Amino acid sequence: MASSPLVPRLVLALIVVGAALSAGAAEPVHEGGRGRPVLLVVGPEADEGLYRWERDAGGAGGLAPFLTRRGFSVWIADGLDLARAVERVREQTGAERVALVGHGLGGTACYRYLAEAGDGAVSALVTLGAPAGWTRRSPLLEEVIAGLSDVPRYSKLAGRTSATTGDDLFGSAFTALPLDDQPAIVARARAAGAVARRSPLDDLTGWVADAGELPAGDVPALLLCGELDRIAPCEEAWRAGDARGPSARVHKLGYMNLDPHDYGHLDLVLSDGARRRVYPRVAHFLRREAIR
Amino acid sequence: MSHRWTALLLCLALAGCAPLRQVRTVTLAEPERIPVTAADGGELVLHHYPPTAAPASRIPVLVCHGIASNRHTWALGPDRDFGAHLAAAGLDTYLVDLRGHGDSPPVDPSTSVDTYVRHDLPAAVDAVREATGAERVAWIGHSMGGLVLIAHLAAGDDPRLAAAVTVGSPVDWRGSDQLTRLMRVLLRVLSGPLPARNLAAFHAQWEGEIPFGLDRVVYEPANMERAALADMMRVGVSPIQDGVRRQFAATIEAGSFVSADGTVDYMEAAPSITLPFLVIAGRADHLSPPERTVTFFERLGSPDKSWRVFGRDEGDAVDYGHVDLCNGDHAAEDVYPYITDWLLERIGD
Repeated sequence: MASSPLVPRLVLALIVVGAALSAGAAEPVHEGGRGRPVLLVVGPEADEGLYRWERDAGGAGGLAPFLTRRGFSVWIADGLDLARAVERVREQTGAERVALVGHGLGGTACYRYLAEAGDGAVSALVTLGAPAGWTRRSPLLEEVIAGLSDVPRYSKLAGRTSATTGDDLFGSAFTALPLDDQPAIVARARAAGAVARRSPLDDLTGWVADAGELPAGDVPALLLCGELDRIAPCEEAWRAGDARGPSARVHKLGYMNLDPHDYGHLDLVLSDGARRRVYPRVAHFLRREAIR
Repeated sequence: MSHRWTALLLCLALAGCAPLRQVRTVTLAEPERIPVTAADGGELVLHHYPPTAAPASRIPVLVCHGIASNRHTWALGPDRDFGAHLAAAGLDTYLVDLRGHGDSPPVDPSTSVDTYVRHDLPAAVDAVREATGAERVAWIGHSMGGLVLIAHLAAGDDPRLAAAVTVGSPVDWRGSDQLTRLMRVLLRVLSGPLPARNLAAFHAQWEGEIPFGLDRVVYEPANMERAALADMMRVGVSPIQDGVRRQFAATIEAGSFVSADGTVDYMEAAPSITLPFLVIAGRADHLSPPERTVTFFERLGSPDKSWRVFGRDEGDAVDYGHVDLCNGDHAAEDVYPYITDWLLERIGD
């Protein structure tokens, strides 16, 4: 990035201080389970519901209950103060290392944490549709980002995913699923509070500016991306993987891996397809790689 | 023709027995043909599109096609003619048929991408410089045509070049998606030069549509009207030489675009390149998706470099696939003006 890293850092500092003052730094929440600790990280654009959506007519719950049932000790925390959250989980579980999993800017928060705190306390890393600084921000993305500092506007944008016209670009910004499935995702996102219930963010760029400076590391990483994710396109995962080195594997969900359809951004965590194709991949990776 | 290919042709015939179509002709302004002989004796052909508006630059433009294709990638009918588009913007334009492609005579099967790098690119550049008297030339390459340029620049910046545009040129082959694994197996298992042309001409009989949902590997269906697709299959496809096939198999195995002998990783050329550089990708390109070019772009040394993914997020008509970046239904609205403007900002008088 051409701009000085100082400005985004200042902005981030303001966000962190602001959040701490307004909300008090939230404690990580234990979702259940007794195995190896996995910390699900929430970005500023979402809340815990992202990983916790409940059973509904067509669905069967989020990543958190999925991992709990598979024998992990699952925690959810805010990415705003990840260093503190990681320490808390280590204290409470007695584990040396914690696996980090983050969707969207929750994944970016993981990159930021590794850049600042190093790999020492981390057993494995999984990101899903996580921006890593954005090589170029498309006009669509600019509009979404602008909308993030304005909750009603953002909700309106996201709400347009339920459009049934078949040609809604904002819809495809958030999900690449067939349109019939989109209203269910939005309902889920709304019910779970995953779409922008948070206070307005002054400048989202503060969150991602440093991620391009992600250091190389040995912690096994699985970087997942949706083939038609317009918020965090697959090149973001490749850039982060490139920075991390051979310990990182990138995997694209969509046509190139013979998935039944392309994945977008929210459907990486909020869809029934995610439950079938994404969650098992995450669980398998964590089980195999997190033994450290 | 080997039994393997006969069998494949039979399968394709069974998959889509359609009545033979009347052969259409691709109507184009007839550009002047300039035969060129490379230093090693290889023969290629340039097609000249002189400016049709007031000349806008003293620097001529050379446009190169990709693997298994020819100049028709960039000139597939009056509404998809990049040569005519550049000429109308006042640029002196040359479309090249590399050796063994399009109008160029058949070649030795051992021909590899490195052959184009070592001999064809310098020969084409020098021929254009000689014809125009210009010192420097701008290079626009689709897919392999961009890789040829990148490999050429691995030997150091070339003072004969003024600017570079790569369109869907995949340098970073890391990641192991199933489609790429399938491609690697095919490239390894098939032997000899691939008669892509025979297959494609056969395909054109039923309007060119590729069966089994494999069409999206090559183009975005929403961006290729059937008649244009048939034209592309009929005139736009050329054989893949054995050496080229092997080099791409080696590239996929290495995870990066490598030399024919596998010893040089052309990705390593990126930091030393200083040319003004435009890297273009298609959002729905499955042969060269954006992530196969982004790490090259990040490493590029050029102080003046640009990155553009053609897709709906950018306000383009469709999410672009591989070949339709050059000749899709909407390329003339979305892609041609973007490249032209970018070039004119750099090489315009």
